[in-house]
Amino acid sequence: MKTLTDSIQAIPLNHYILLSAIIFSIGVVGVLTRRNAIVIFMSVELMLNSVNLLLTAFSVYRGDATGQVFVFFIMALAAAEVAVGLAIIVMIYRNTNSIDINVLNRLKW
Amino acid sequence: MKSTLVKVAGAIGGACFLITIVAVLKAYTGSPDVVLKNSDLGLVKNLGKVLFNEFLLPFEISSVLLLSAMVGAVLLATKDPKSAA
Repeated sequence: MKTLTDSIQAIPLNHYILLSAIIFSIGVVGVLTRRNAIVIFMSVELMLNSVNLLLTAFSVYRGDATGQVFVFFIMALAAAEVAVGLAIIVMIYRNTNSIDINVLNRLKW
Repeated sequence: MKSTLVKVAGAIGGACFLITIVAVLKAYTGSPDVVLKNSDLGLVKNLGKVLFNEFLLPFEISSVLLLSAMVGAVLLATKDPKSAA
């Protein structure tokens, strides 16, 4: 058990950055390509959580607890965003009987 | 037709983003290991000390944010009885 924790603790910093970049890119592609509003919200959550992972990794790397406190604030912001967004989705579904965001193109005018 | 165009644009955009980040990481060679120096960094006690001393004002403001989000969500999602009837 001691050797397991020792081997876990010695991960290079680049691996964290690379994993966060991959997860963030998956979120960007999901937001740009998907037409379902709930899937778009899941992709936004992916992007926020990749930033959370990067913040905690840098927090441990610098030995500073500030980054982990920022993660709390990002989680609170994500909760507020999802609450309002899901309420908007419910309202869109009541008005159009669909959560496909192509019906929102009338918001352009 | 438009959907495939959007898909191609999203794929190209995400791929460019990922390629840029990977190129930056390749230019930066030799990353140091992430080693937890003081083992009580992420404990609830220390995080609470940081959260309630340095970040007390943002903590209180985030409570206002959550309250306004809750009120907004309830206001948006509840059915209007006049228009529903």
